[in-house]
Amino acid sequence: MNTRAQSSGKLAKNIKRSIPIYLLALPGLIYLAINNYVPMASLVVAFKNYSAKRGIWGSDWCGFKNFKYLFGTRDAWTITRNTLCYNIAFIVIGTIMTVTIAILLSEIKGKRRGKFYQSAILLPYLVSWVIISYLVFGFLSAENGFINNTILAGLGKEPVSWYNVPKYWPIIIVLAYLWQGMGYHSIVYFANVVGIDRGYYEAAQIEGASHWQQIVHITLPLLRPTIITMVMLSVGKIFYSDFGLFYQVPMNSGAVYRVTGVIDTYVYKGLLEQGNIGMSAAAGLYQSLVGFAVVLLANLIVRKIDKDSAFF
Amino acid sequence: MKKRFLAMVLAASMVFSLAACGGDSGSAQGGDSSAADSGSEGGSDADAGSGNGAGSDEAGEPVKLVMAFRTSGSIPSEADIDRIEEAVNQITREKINAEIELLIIQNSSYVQQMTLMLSGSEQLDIMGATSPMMASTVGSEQIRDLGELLDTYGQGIKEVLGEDVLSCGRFEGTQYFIPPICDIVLGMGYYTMRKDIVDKYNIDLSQVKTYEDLTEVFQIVHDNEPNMNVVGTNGAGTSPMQYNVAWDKLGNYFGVLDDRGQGELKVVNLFETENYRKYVDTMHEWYTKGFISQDITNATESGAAQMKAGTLFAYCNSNKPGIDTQEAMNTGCEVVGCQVLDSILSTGNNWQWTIPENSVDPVKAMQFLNLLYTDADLLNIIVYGIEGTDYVMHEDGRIGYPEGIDATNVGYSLSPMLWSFGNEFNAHVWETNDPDVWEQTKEWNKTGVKSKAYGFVFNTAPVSNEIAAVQNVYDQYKMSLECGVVDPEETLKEMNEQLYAAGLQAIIDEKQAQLDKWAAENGVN
Amino acid sequence: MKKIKGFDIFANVFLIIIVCYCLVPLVLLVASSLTSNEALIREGYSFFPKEFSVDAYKYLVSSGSQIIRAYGMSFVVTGLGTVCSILLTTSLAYAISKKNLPGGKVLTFLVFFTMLFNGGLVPTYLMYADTFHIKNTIWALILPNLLVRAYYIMLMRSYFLNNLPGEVLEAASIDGATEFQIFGKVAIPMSKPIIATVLMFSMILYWNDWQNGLYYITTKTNLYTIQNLLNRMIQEIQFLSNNAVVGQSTSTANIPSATVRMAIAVVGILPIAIVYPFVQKNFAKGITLGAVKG
Repeated sequence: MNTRAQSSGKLAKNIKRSIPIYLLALPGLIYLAINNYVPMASLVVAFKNYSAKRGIWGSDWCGFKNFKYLFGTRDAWTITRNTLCYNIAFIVIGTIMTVTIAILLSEIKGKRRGKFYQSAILLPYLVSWVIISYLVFGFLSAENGFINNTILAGLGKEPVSWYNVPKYWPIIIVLAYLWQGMGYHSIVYFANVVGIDRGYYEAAQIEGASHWQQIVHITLPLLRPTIITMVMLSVGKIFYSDFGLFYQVPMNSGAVYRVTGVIDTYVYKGLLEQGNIGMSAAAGLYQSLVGFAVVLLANLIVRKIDKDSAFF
Repeated sequence: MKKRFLAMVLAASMVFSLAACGGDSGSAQGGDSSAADSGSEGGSDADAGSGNGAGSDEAGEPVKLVMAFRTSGSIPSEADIDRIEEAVNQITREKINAEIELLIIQNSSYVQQMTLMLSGSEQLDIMGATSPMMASTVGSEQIRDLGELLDTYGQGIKEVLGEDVLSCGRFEGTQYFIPPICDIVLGMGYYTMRKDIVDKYNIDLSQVKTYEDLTEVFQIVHDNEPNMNVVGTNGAGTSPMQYNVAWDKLGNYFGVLDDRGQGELKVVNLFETENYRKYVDTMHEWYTKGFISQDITNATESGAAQMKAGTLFAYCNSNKPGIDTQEAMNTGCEVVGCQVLDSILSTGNNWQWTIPENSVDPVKAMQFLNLLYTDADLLNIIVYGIEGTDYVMHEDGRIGYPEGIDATNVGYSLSPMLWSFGNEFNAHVWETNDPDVWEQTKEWNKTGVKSKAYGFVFNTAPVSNEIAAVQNVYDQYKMSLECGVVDPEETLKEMNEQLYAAGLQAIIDEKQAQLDKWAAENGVN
Repeated sequence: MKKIKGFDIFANVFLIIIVCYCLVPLVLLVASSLTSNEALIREGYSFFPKEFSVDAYKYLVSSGSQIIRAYGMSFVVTGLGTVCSILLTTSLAYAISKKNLPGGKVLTFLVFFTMLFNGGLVPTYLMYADTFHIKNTIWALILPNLLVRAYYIMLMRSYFLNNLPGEVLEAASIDGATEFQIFGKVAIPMSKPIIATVLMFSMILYWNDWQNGLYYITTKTNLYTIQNLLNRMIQEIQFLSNNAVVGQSTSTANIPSATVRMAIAVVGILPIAIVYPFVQKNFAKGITLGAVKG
């Protein structure tokens, strides 16, 4: 009794003391409530036969009808598999590449050179997928492409009809993804590496640790929480994919659809021009729910490994 | 652990309470808008009643109407649109006591923008609908039944269109839409070719009547011009099948009437018909003979642009009066053409006008549409802009750009969309066309083979799930099959299996049921 | 000493390979924007233009003052948006990074939850267009993106958690500093690298955004940002190349469609490429935490 009263008293005191902190959080929270939570309620339209006249709330319920098309074909499995595999590949390869780049960048001695490297690898992030698709076409065009005309011809090899051969596309997609996002995503790690206390390294150098040892024993462990955060954030989006990457870059080529089709492109093609609000909402809800489940799972695992890095 | 659970519950409940708030405001909004709607409807009814005889004498402030449509060309600047609106309003204020706000939206984002606007309570009085939007707008009860409005205020429209064309705007028996009148007959299987090359090898196009004849022509060009692709698609990355149609597609291609809708009203699977097979076989033959670019399925440039660059001899298209002058302008070289299939007339609903639920004054909206179909001055302002500024009139009555102005710097011109504004035949003739092009077009419209199902509009709503799934399967095969890249023998069979697995039969059955019902109601058999 | 040198060579070689990988396609981009349209269609994309031409840029310039105004809008929107969004993000992230804040985990969850679920375009649109009536105003370009990525908040929170030692903050509070003072005078200066990062991110986000303009700017086209304008041009050209031109009068033959696309991309990237090095300084400058710790 007594202790409970005491602890609740303590809590009240703690809350009172934290009022300024709450005030700091308030504007952001209000914004999220309006911008994110209120519209979220409309997801209920995924279960409705939407009528504009009666509004989302007045429309009739229709059960899971709007979800049917997502699972209606043999493609359902293909697109789910593709979405998952690509995202896992992006998380693994992407993380390795971006962390490596960030660490190496921070080690570059010449300041100007470092800046140049960093700017150069960031630039692709500013190019839209439509344009990237044309650049890729510049390389892969069957008749005039750089690879067929210059590289393969130079090696005396037969030209390849790239847009019709599925087996190349997983690699092309990953390469395009890295090209566009690598620099951008390495910024986060770079900022964290730069933020590491130089004292650690000085101490290590005095003890004669090599560069490798410093990276393995100081940099990486200190980066771990950030890496976990970043991975967790990507895991939540595991059922989403960058529409432009999968739709524009293969130029919507049906022949390679088996390896480039993902949930987002499937939904887009299926609902193109139909403007069906219920069916789009159903797709979004499905993607979110899976992402949510996976994140909860990942969070459980993280809590076992590194309690502080868990989200909740 | 307990505490954490509590926290989650708290979070969840917070989400829900917020959600509930959103819900309330949402439904309140819905209620408001419908109340406002009916109010204004009543008002305008009375309004119109008083001034029925003489439309121009209506008292009170002019009603402001918002009209949304798409354009494929460039969108004029704000100042230019203001200028045009003022000119339009001078006419509409006087004739129907209304003012118009033009909402010009780019083609690529039109459907999405309309979906957004129709979901809320934003004012929208007149809008154009593309054919896939028909089912969704009716299904979501976003647009109005125009039947009575049309009878009362749209006599002009009825006269211009005639019962036949007007019936294409009837959706399950209800007049929700009003189609435009333009070149409604499509000249299928038309191939546009470079004239200099045709002349160079003394090719007599008047003798070219079938795909086999075309193959011979293409062979000659292929043998003599090794650096040129012989035949390509009109639009980059679009299937040429749409121009090589010998059937009535009945809205979408999933379930068609074979033989241009001349036989019995039996919906069949297009991809199992002989006509389709013949088409894909021909394309494959052309591809294997090297007539077609290896990049055909994902070309980045239109046929016209390729022809202009000198890499293409011919591309397919659909025939109509003035087609060669039009294509000559797009390609920058002289062209000729020949047609190997019949011209057909089937329900055309690429674009139709309608009045949304969000309209503040449906009566005025209908009066405006009536004016658009009957008043040549109004149409010419909306399409070509202002005489003297955006175009000039020549002595022979045709029009062209003023001195120093061309397509790239004209202030206002929606001429690429001329056909969509209702009554094309009221418009000025552009200088590159024959002065009597509209007469020719009217004649042309009588030539087509008319499908028995002309006027039937398919409601996709009952099978929207199947259509989404089938569309995805079709997309996988469409380009490579219909551009001839793959051997149809194997692929066609595989595609059909997949299509049926995705629910093609359900679409065909639904279409058949709707068609039977339509036929019974309209006395067609 | 020798080992360090070896490492240095490795780092440079590795990064140079990556840099080449990133730059080569961009060189292709610039080169093809400077090729004549017909040569590009005929010969394909090439690093060395066969027929040099600036037609594409001429075409862009011919659209006149629009481009300059759109650049101006982009700068205003990016500037305003970034400042507001950084303020919101930093204060919210700081609050939820407090370890002993009652309800802190719940708030974190609420923030994180917005990353997973969203209402989709339609309800969001209705909120801004019907409830707040910001359609066709500059706010439509700023508000929807303020905290659009809860990602940044989580990132910052994680940085605060790991790099702001509790002792330092406590010491400040014992010295009599209020929470606001601690936030402004201790936490922010100690977090420059992450603030610069998020600043950079939201700058790019605002700069690259064209969708809000597409949804919300329908009549007041003077409010177009450069991305809206360029996107619209790309769409127009795309449409011309994908579809039969049904019209009677528009001649498309004199638009260098293929090269304009490339020129448009160059024009869109340029300003960020120029501004970036200045923002970059802050990464390197980031406060050494050792000094604070003493």
